[in-house]
Amino acid sequence: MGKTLVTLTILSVLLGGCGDDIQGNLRLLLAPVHDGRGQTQDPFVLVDRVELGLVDELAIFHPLGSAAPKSRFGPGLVGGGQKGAPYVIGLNQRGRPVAQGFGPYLSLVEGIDSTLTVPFYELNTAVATRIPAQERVSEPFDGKAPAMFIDSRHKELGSIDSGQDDLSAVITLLWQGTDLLIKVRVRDDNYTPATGDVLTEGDAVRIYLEDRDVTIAADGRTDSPDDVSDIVAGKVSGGYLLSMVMPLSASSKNLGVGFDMRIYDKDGEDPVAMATWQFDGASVGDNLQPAEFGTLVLGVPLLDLLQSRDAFQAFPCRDGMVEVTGTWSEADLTLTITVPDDKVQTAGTMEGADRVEVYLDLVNNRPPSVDPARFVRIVTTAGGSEEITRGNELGSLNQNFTFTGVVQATASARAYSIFITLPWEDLELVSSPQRGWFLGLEIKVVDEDDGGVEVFSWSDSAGLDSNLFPELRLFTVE
Amino acid sequence: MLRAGALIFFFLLSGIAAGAEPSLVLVEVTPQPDPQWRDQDVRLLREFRSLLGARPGLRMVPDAELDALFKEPPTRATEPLAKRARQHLKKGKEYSESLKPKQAITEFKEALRILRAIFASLGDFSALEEAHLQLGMTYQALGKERRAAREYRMVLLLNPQRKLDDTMVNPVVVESFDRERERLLTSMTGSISLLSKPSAARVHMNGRPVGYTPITIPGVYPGEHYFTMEHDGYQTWFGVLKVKPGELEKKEVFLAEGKRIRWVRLRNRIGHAGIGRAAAQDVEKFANAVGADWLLLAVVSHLGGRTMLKLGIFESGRKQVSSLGIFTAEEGQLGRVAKRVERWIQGDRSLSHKTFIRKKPPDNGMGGGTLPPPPPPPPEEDGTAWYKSWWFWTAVSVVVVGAATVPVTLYLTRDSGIRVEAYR
Repeated sequence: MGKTLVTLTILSVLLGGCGDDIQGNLRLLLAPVHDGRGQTQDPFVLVDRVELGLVDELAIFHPLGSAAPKSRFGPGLVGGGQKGAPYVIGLNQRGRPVAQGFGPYLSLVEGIDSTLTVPFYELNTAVATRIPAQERVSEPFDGKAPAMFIDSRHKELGSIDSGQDDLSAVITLLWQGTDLLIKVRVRDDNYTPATGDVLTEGDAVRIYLEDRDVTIAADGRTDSPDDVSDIVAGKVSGGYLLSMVMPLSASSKNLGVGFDMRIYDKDGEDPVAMATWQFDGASVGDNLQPAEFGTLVLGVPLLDLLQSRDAFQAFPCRDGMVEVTGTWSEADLTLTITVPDDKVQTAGTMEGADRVEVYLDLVNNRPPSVDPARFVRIVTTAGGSEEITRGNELGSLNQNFTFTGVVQATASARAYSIFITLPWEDLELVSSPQRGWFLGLEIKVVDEDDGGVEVFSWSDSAGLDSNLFPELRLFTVE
Repeated sequence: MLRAGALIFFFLLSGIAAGAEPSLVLVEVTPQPDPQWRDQDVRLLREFRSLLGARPGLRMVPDAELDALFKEPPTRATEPLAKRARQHLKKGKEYSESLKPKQAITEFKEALRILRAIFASLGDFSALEEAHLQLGMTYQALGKERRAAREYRMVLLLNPQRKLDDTMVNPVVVESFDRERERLLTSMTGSISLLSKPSAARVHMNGRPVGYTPITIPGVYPGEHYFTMEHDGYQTWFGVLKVKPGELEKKEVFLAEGKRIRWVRLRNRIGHAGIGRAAAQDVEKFANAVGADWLLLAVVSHLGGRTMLKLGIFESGRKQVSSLGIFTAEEGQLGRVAKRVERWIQGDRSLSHKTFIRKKPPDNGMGGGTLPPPPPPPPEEDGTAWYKSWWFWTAVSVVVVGAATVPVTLYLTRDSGIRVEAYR
């Protein structure tokens, strides 16, 4: 009996050790192009297989594995210790890339349990990340997801077997107001800027934006000083780095602007090699025309609301970071906003109290609206007073409606939290909320201190502009 | 006066009579139509629909009402553009006649630019053909032979039968035009391969139907061709594709969803569920949308070269779709099926089920078809007991070693790391 017990114990220990040893979890939520509430363009439509990998800051791609594009897919267990931005490539039946997406930089380390949203678009599209004003002065590109990756697949002219050590680039694009901030990290084993006036005879980057065409040499010289400013150039290990600012003619969330990029690489006596993000295979090496450019989408912050766990986003206010979390179900939408405040004012009236104003744009900037009202406004003070209205114009949200949800406020000495449960039924929507809906969401934190009133908004705009509202997506992990 | 009264009475009577007949609509819900058979299937359903309409006890809902559910409404936005193109064409001809070729070219090019942008909504390509021809003739008048030839080629690609009458057109032009025709006919052809998402989009090349996606069209004359792809529920895609001699041009198109997509999705849902399992509320929506009392669902399939028609029938307000059966779509058979549908609607629910008769097993000669007696058990063999044999203990050893090795191997080769997953 005793021997049998010992044998069974040994066997169970051995079998127990045979399971996968999961040291962390990384979930990537792929967010497609959207238009108003529903998703209209499915970037997966031609995708037969998906490759996942990390692109590091040196513009090197580290593949993690590939999988079939089901609702949930991935390479499974991968080794820890790798760093980079998650890069998802959708391949069609013939193995040709047709869609792609980038997430923000991360490290695969033991204990990681992270959920990231990865914008996923057709191959000719890239996303510029919106940044608030105060980030401009520090290091705006730090930690931001890349927008584009150029490697041997984009090569037009020159040797095709030089591999990743030469002529690959990772590009980060940010937008702020009507400025486009561009950072290009080029991997180049032979740093050779042009010596003469023709910048494209040496290492250079050429940027096509709207109807402009600007070349910047690896050493920072440009042929169009009127179209580009704040150029920072430098030789770095294994290549060079360029950053600059170019003005946009207009800016609004989800606006698509014509954009393309070409990298020139001069190595020794060889002719200049060229790699271009989007190019017409029939006219290799020609100068691109606006109709041939790719599309750069001006993105806004996205709160990916899941049904099972709280999603999380944050934005700065005077005394720290405002945390926005939430979940959704078929019955209601739940949001929790936690505001750090050194001196919480809980006075009973609306004016004079610290408060949070929540604006929900049901149409998300895409007319026509078929519901009774496009915008819902919920104002809650730290003391618990509330004001709930709706309307079709942001300037006159004065229409009362039957609200059966919950609005609560809890305050402590250094912070207060607002908890909102908004039943969908109260909004009298024509159709019930669905997975894949995108709604506009603006949060304004009004900080009433002795020194005066200060307003901080998630969209970082002073007024109320639905063109700049961040978004939330109703999503489920299937 | 009397005649008018009689006429009104007749119309009222016929109206009442028509109202008494149950209205029926035929909806095809084939989940994945076979592009190779698509034209034939469409013809078959059209014929079946007309046979149903000819039955005295049935009133078919007009095809146009059903089509309006699935097909994108024609856009009127292109009408002013088409009118502007015609004006440019007319003005170009006037310039050409008043010997102002450069102005004429500008007008013809503008007409062509507009027509190429809206050709998908043009009823016929005659204006496009005319613009290419006029532009070619004007180029030729300026001595630009190559450009003229290119335009003549476009005319011939649009209309291979096009001939110029030398009593109406300059004989020099006719000669060049015919020369271009010869050159085109003797040139090496190319191929074009078209894919669409969703598939089974109807493809028109230069205004003529050529099939359904995915499709590879061989023997295409080199040059630019006008293509359109139409699919129920999706916006029509159109574009000009260039084919080079001896080469295969490939094009993948992702069709944009149109205003009628929800009806197409509903139809697909019914098709994927299967006729017998389709949700009644889904089918009811169709019946309500076209105002039909009865809805006939059809799935066309092909088996061994034969076309099969699976039919289900639904009466508005009922809880389920009834299966009428599977029929071969052979000559004469469709008429009988139409009659069956009529009888069903009139209340005759009898179906001619096939009866499967279990055949009696053959007589084995031992009487009464009973089974033969079992064979006698084998005699016991003399020798050592099984648990004392060498093979038994060898087998036991293999099992024990294997049981120990497998967990150890699994442990040593187990996966470890961070789980990465993506959710679409």
